[in-house]
Amino acid sequence: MSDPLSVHLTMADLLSGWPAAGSVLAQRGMACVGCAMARFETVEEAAAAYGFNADEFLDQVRRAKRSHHSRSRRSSS
Amino acid sequence: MARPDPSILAGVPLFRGLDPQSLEVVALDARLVRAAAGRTFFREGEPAKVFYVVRSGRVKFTQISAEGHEIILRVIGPGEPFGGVAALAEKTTYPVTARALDPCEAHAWDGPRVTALMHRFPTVAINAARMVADRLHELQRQHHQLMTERVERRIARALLRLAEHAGRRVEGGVEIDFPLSRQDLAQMTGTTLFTVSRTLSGWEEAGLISTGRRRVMIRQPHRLVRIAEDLPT
Repeated sequence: MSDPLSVHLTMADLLSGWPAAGSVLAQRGMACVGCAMARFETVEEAAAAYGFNADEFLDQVRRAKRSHHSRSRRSSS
Repeated sequence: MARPDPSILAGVPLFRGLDPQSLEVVALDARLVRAAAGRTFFREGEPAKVFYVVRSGRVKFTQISAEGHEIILRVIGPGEPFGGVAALAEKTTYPVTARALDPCEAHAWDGPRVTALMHRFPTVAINAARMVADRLHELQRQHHQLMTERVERRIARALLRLAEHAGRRVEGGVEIDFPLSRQDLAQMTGTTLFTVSRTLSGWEEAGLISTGRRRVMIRQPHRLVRIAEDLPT
């Protein structure tokens, strides 16, 4: 399966499809969660505006998603 | 008993311009207060009754912030005055906590003593009036800055709300897709046309937005959000 996470997603799509991204953004001091502009700005543009590497950021989102999943599996068992 | 050295008093703003004989009189009125390291001279919110000048050691001023943290405002040393509010106002409280950082000695005048000195030496009263005027001027400046920031935040929020409702992604930014005059924005944010114009012009110069006739485009959404949310830049 190809990874649908991409730097061309808007921040709003990223946040709705990958809720774990919210905590990654919060850790980085970014105000994207609930921001009126999230549906206009892509991950790539946000990365450029905040001066970080978009691919590194997406890796962090993937890791956050995995740890989120393993936590929920533990709690449901 | 340790009387204040008149040459130290000559450097204190309240006593500036007094001749040596007058300074002697001021010195005679002072009592000496000793404080071990860590002891407080006064706490924030206590009635302001005594005006001090440091003789030896260092004094630290702290205040409790809105978030509940103790913040250190300033540390002063020999020859510097503190608790000046006691000399200037009759019924007021200390705005800060003053604590001895090391073993301290300070010359102290009770409020009524300072009032008596003002009656006797008009120079002291004039100095006090000037200190109050300087403080007022500084507060007006800070107040103006604060109000300006508040209005800018309101305007930024209004633009973001409009973009959320009617924004259109275009080359180079997000355009608010309906006619919007500066007067409309002034009404939305409860401010004046002048303030909106000045604010928008500033943002346009800084590259945050671009405006045309009844048209606004947000070029740097992130920076506008930072203003709207009062986030550190």
